[in-house]
This record gives sequence, C-alpha cells and structure tokens, in this order.
Amino acid sequence: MNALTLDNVSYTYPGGTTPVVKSASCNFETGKIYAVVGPSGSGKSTLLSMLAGLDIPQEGDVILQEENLKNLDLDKYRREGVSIIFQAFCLLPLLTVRENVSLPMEMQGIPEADARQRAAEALVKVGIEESKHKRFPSALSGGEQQRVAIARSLCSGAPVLLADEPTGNLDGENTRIVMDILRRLAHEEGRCVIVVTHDPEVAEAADLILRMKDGVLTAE
Amino acid sequence: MSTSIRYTLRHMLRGGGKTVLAILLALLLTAAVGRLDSLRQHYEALSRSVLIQGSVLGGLTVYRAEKLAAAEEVKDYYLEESWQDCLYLTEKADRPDEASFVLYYTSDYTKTTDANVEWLDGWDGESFQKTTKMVCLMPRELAEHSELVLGDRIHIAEAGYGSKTYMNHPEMTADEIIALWKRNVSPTTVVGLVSETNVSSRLWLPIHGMDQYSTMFPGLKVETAIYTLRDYRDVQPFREYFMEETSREKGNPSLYLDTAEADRIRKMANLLSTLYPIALGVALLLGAVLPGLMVLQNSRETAILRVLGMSRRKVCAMLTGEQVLLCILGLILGVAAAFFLGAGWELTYPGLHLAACLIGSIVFAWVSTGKDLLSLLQAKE
Repeated sequence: MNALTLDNVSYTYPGGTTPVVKSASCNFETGKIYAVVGPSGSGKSTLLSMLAGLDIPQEGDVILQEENLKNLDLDKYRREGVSIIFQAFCLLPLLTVRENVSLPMEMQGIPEADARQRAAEALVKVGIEESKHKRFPSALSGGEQQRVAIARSLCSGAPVLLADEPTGNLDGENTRIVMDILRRLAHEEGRCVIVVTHDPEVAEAADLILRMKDGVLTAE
Repeated sequence: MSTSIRYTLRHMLRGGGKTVLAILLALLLTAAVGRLDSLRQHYEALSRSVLIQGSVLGGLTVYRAEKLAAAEEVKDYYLEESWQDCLYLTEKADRPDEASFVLYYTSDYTKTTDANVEWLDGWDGESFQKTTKMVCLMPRELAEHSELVLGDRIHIAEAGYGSKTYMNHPEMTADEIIALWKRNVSPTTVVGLVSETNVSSRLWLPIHGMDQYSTMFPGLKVETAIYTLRDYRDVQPFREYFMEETSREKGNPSLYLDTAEADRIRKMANLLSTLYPIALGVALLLGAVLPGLMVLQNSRETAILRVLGMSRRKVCAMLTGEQVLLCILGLILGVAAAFFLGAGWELTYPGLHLAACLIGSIVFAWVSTGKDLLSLLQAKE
C-alpha cells in the first residue's frame, strides 16, 4: 500500500534557473524502509523538504494516501501525516523528555494525561528508562536524544517517518540501535520510513535504496 | 488549558536567565524612565516657583519700573520704602535742615493719592501729570503744620542743601543761606493736598538718578526685594530690563539678581527636558527590540514547533504571549520600584512600553517563523 507518492516532482528555488529536483517519481510503501543517498548538493534536502510539506513543488504532486498535498492543510499534514527526525535531534530544550514526546499528541487534541501515558510507553519502547523521563534533553547522551526524537515520531501516529541523517551524530553502537528501531517501526508497525543518509551502512539497512544525483532520483 | 498556553508557561518558568533578563529589562527601564520623569516634573515645578532674590542698588527710571510692572513678570513684587526724598521747607525754619518734614514724591501719584487729593481749582490728576509748571502735591498734615493753603508758593530744597551750604560757607548766616537758596530755586505752587491713604496699596518707585543720594540716606543705599517668578522661563526677559538699566547707569547697576540657585535649577530642568524624550525613545526602542531579539534567539525552537505541525499564527501568538507576560511582570515590578524611588504611580510609560513590546514581539515572531525551517533544523545545536 502506498503511503506517500512522488509524481513527476520538480523544484527550482525562487530566483534559480536550474531545478534542484527534476521530475522525481516514486511510490513509498507502508512497512518498508527507504534510503535516499547521494552527494551533497544533489537535491536530497530539497526532496526531504517537499516530502515534509515544508516546500511545495512547482511541478508534479506529492500524494499522501491518495490526498494531494496541495489540497491539504500543511500544518495538519506535519502534525498527523508525516513525522521528521533530524541529525541534530531537534528536541525542545525547556521541555522534559516526556513532555517532548507528549507535545505532538497534545497538539492533536489528545488529553494531557493520556498523552503522557503514551509518551512514557513509547520512551520505554525505544530504550529510555523511566528514571530519565523527567530529565531535560541536555542531560541525555546523543544516542538517547535521538531515541527520544524517534519516540516522539512514534507517538505522532504519522504513517510516514522521515529521517534526515538520523545517525550523523551517533557512534557505531547508537547507530545500530537507532537503525534497529527504525526497521522495527517499518516492519513491525507498518510505518513508511524514508532515511536520507550519507552513510553506506545505514543505506544497506534499507529495503530499497534511492539515489539522488543532480536532482534526478533513481532506484537501485 | 490549551497546549500552547501550557507550553508558553513552561517555557517562561524554565527560561532561567532569559526569563530573568526579560523581566529585569522591563523593570529597569520602567524604574529608570519613571524616576527620570519624576525628576523632570520636579525640576519643572521647582523652576516655576523658585524665588529670585534681588537687591536694588540704585534707582530705576519711572519708565523702567512701569514697564517692569506692566510686563507682569513679577508676581508679587514690592519695593518697600523705595525712597523718601527728604525735601526741606525752610521758610518756617531757622536753618533749612531743621524743617524736617517729608514730601513724598512719586511718579505714580494715582496709586498714592487716588481720590484723596483736594485739588486747587482748575487742577486735577490729568493736568497735574501733564503740566510743565512747578507744582507739587503736599501731605495735608505737612500743609497744616506749615500753615500753608492751596495756591501758596513755596521753595523746596533738596535734602542737605542747608548743611552743605553752611559747611562750604561757614561765614554765612541762616538768613543769608535762605536768601541764596531763594535766588537759586524757583518757587513751587501747592496744587493739591494729599490725605494719607492705605499704605498697603502704595507703590513707591525709585526715581532715576537717586543713587546720588545714597550716601546721604543710608536707608536708600540698598533696597532688597524678593521676586516670585510666575514662570522661571520669564527670568531672562525680567533680568534684561535690569541689564538695560544697568548699562545706562554705567557701573551703578540698578538691581542685582541672585540667580545662582535658579540658574542651577533651570539648567537641570532644561537638561532633563531634553534628556527625557531621548531616554523615552531609547527605552521604547529597547522595549521593542530586546524582546524581539529574544524571540529570534528561539528561532530553532520555533522551527521545531512548526515542523511538529503548529501553525505559524499560533507559534507567533505563543512567542508574543510569552514576551508580553514577562514584560507585564517586569512592568509591575518596575512601577513599584519607581514608586519607591519617588516617581508616583505613573502609568503612561508602562503602557507605551507594553505596546512597544507587543509590536516588537509580533514583528520578530513573524520574521522568526518565516525562516527556512529545514536549514534551522539541520544545523547542529
């Protein structure tokens, strides 16, 4: 089942003449993990930006489960349709670990108590023990912070999970842990996971590798 | 409680240094501007009520004195005992100095005589003022004592005439001095008898040139007056009247004004009046820009909230709300601090500061939420 579809998508930055993404087409299915690889400047980040609903392609369509992004409320799309994990973790520094995870649920209208309960469960699921739930992100290691970010994505319930260099700041052990979790999310929970990465080892863990070169997206 | 309010409150309470800084900023600016404003008002009030002490060192021309009064620069002036030019009737005395009656000379007879003048037929106040003949008004008491009636002609000598003549010509007898005096002095006709009037309504004005008498009349050497200025800004034109007179007197100034304290107050009032709008402008600018910069500092958090799906408008409201709440806290403390510094409960500045904070926060929040989210989030912390 298609979770997200790119249909002949092109994007040129305002004022630019050459498209950074050229007629990209791809079906991203649920229950699979994808890796988008390519050199710097190849258009990976722009592609991610469009998948995340942060940019709208000038040509072509991004379709989330048969709904064209152009017809969707993009804020709602980012709240409920897609979830993003960044290399720099991007946790809110003044919220506790559990509050960071429960915030997207609260934004969706889930009562605070329920959201907290589900956040705690998600954190345990990604290996963050309960004693750390009330700590602030800065008190956690890089690997732990990334797992908190994954737990946050997990709780959002979004069918698509985008990860931008999720292991870029992690050591080998934590890279392995994070990739295990992402694989589990795809294979066991049926999420569609799209990982943008430079790391060949991370790419190898994917079900399908997509290569981006000079704005052109090709499947290997 | 909505998620955004909960988040804002958490962010505020856990903001640490930033929260304290935002509160301190509003507090200090409010207290400082409040104190400056109170000082400005104090000095302006002071400059309006300051007393200028002056000493009359010599005489003033009638013209000058009248102009001074007409200018209404002086609120409550008096020139007491301005001068009593002692002129001597000598016809009834053995020697001129022994007839020590006093004739009051005044340029403004209406204030001293008013309706209490018994005029010689054909004379009135207007003709008296305009005449070029040698005439005078005489106190009734003096006339009765001297057995004079209206229309009598008398000889008037200036004070000390007899003594001076006697000292210069000790060989002369009193009769000879009187004879000499009568040859030199034209007779004056008494055209009015003046009854005593209410002393408090008198305005005795010194007549130009009377400083020459100062050595003869110790009481006239220095006359002191206190002028209460209606508005301190009128000091300068007021003083100019006297300066003009002083230049005419050539080193014999008519009046010395002790304006040292008033000058200090005026300088301070001017300085504060100049400084206050500048300080107000700078404070409001800081009140708008600094909360805005704090909003910008949170750009990364803003981007995270946006990526999590919070609308731009809601994020802006949260950012603005946080700064406004902190500002209100600071303003309350600032108003209290200003009050204890003696500024009173002045709420104009806090109102303006709040408005500046609101505008600054909204503008910067809108800028902050409009940034490229991906580049903000891809950057390492």
